[in-house]
Amino acid sequence: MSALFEQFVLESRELLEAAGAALLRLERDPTETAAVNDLFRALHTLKGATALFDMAPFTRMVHAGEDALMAVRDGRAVMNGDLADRLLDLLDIGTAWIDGLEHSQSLPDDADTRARAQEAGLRAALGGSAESMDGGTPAGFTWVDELPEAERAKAAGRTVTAIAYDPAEDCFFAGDDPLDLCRRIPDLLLLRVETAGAWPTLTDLDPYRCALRFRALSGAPKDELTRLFRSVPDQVSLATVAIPAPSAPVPLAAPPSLATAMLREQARILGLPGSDAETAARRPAVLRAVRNILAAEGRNADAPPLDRAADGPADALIRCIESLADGPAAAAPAAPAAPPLQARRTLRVDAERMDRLMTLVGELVVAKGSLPYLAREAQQGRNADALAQGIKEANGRIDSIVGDLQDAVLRLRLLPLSRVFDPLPRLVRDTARRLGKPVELHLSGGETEADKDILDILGEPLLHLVRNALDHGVETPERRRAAGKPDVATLRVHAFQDSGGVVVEVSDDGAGIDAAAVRRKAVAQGALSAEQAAALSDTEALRLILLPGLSTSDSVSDLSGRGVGMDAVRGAVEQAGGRVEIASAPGVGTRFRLVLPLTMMVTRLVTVETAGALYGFPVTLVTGMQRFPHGAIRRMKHAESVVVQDTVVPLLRLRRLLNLPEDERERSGESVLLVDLGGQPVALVVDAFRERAEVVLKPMTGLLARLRGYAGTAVLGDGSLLLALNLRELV
Amino acid sequence: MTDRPDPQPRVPQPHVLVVDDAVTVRAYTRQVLEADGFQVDEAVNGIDGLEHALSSTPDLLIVDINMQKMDGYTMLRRLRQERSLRDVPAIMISTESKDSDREKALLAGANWYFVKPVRPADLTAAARLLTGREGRS
Repeated sequence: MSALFEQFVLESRELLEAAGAALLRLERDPTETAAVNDLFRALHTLKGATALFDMAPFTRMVHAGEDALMAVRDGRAVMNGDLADRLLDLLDIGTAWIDGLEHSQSLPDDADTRARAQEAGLRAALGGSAESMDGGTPAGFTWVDELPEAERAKAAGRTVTAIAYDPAEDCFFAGDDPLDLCRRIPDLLLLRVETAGAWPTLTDLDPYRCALRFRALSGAPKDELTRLFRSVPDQVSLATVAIPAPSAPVPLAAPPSLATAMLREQARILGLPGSDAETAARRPAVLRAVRNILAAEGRNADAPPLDRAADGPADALIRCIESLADGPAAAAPAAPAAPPLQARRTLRVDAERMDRLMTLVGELVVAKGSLPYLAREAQQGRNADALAQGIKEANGRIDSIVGDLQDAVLRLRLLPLSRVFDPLPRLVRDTARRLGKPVELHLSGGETEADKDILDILGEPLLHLVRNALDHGVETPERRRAAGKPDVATLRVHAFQDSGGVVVEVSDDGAGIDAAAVRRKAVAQGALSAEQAAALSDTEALRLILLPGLSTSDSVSDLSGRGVGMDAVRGAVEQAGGRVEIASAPGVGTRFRLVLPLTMMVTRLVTVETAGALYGFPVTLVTGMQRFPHGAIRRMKHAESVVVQDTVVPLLRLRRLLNLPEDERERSGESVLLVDLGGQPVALVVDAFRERAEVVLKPMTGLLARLRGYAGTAVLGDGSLLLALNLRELV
Repeated sequence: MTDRPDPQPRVPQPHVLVVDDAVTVRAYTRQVLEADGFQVDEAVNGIDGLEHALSSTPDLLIVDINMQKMDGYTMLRRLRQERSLRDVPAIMISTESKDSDREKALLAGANWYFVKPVRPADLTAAARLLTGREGRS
């Protein structure tokens, strides 16, 4: 790929993103001139960029979008949901094309058809409000409808400009050349030369008077033609008309239309919203339906690309099925998914951060230089104390630089959360529109940074929470009105950093979750006994929606408002060493809070000693460390508990959990670690507290990988081994 | 094209389960599909439909929406949770013609949606496609 082309791909992506963002702003506030201008500029620049390369359909499509915006800017059209839909669609196609261009450097075969379809769609969307009424053929242009099918074949299925040019009889004396004008019509699709009236008898015929009139169809926009005919505005009339597609289409016979429609529908089904569990549940039937349709159509040769995409990400599969719907064996069906993924693997790094890294490496090289010198001194039998002093100094310097280096490398991997926020405005817009619930999204804290791995993990749960909030949390406008709330719901996604790591909150002002309903459901499903459920506080009851059994049930979501796939959210967040918090007030709203560590490369652990060995727990799970005198520990049969902040918390002993011998030593009290196990507080007796540590956790490998209860191992600075525990598996 | 059973004896007749609480609709659907060479089984509501589907694993489901005891949406959602039935293509048929109804059907797990009444040719064409049956004559 040439550098220029590379630059084009990069720029186009940015322009498409900028255009998408501006469009959403504009839809929210159609009077925002700045947004129109941003959008217009982005498309205009994009058009210019595409024109540099051999990709006429791309240019054509973007040009149509630009035209539409011009109409909006000039007040000839209004930005409404439909027009926004069309423009978003255009941007989506553009994005897909850029992805394709990046690896194949060519547009898909159907690019021209799709570009024309977009163009026609946009013109139709505008035409409805600006040019013709009701999309019917404008007055004076009925001749267009009466054209024989063969004559208008070139224009079929397109929205074109119809030209009726009736030159004045004495036009030659005004210096007009009607035929030449007609020849200069751009993108001429049809030209009819007719007699202006009854043909005069030969004796009466005056060759210096024009007796002809012209009827033409052009693919060029009306504005362009107005310019062309500017010298004869009184003799010409122009109209934008839609030419219907031929009634009997291409020689493929009748049924393919149904097959195509069905294939498209299957692609659409995959794109329907829903929890991971729901979308996953729809996939098998879609795959089988697509295979069957292909088989019924005798297109078994098209099955391999489908098989390749079958287990892959949904969007790749959707693209694959769409391309199958577009026709048999599309030119390049292979490798639709891989390149974009590869592109995602690259990491753009701030130049300043890279420079800092280079500086530190330079310092390290200098500091290292003192070591050979010390070695020589040692060989020469220098005084041991002086030597030790020198080694300590060198070590101190290197240690400090290595610490800085570690920090600098971590920073390379830090990215702003706006990366996972970016898809949200579009998601909210589309979902809200589909559900008929007006929603205003407030995003804040996008500049908060987190490790790339954390961002990767955060993406899905975040989408999930937002979808859930719209689907189940936010009420319909009618219900909101009845409850005395504003029609437009508010959805906030807010990120910030606190001592423990990164916090992302998703809150809505919807119906809230009814804790009583969740309790009832849990009892009905046998997850809890009625007594157990009654004993739960409301906060604890809300956490029940994170349970797998409960959350995958459809009915709980209907009943309580939430729940589908919430266990998946919890799973992903906890896998990253974080936790989920829920707060909800019926009628007021719900807030989900995801607390995530800053990075996964370095894990912050609270270390404890028990039976002579060191163990670690993620800092994010530890809520406190306390010493309890023996008297404060209550015993009921075999169970022990302590009271922490007026709450009875079960007390467990790490030695027992790990099957280690009991502690025989006399002690005045117990060292207790307070841990939050996903909403369930637990007190854990350990032998002694040790310092916190930042470690690079290595997962257990080989046979040890199957051991339950261990998150990994780490080597501490003094060389001792530490076992990081996964308490959830132990308790 | 619909008046003769599939002439190829090697291909087993695809098995279609029709779930509808209206007996006339079931009879009509059966007649249309059997004439086109499908083997047809009937169920009278969602629960009945689930039971039939579990015991016979059909190749295609044609499901009504509004039914007593268990409606078509619920039935399809349950069905999609069932390992042996999650991939069986399903057509939903209803008198509702709004986009939102179609959307709900697809969300519940349908692969296609028809608004009643369905022309016989459309029904058989869709059934042929979704069961992968070749031989359009």
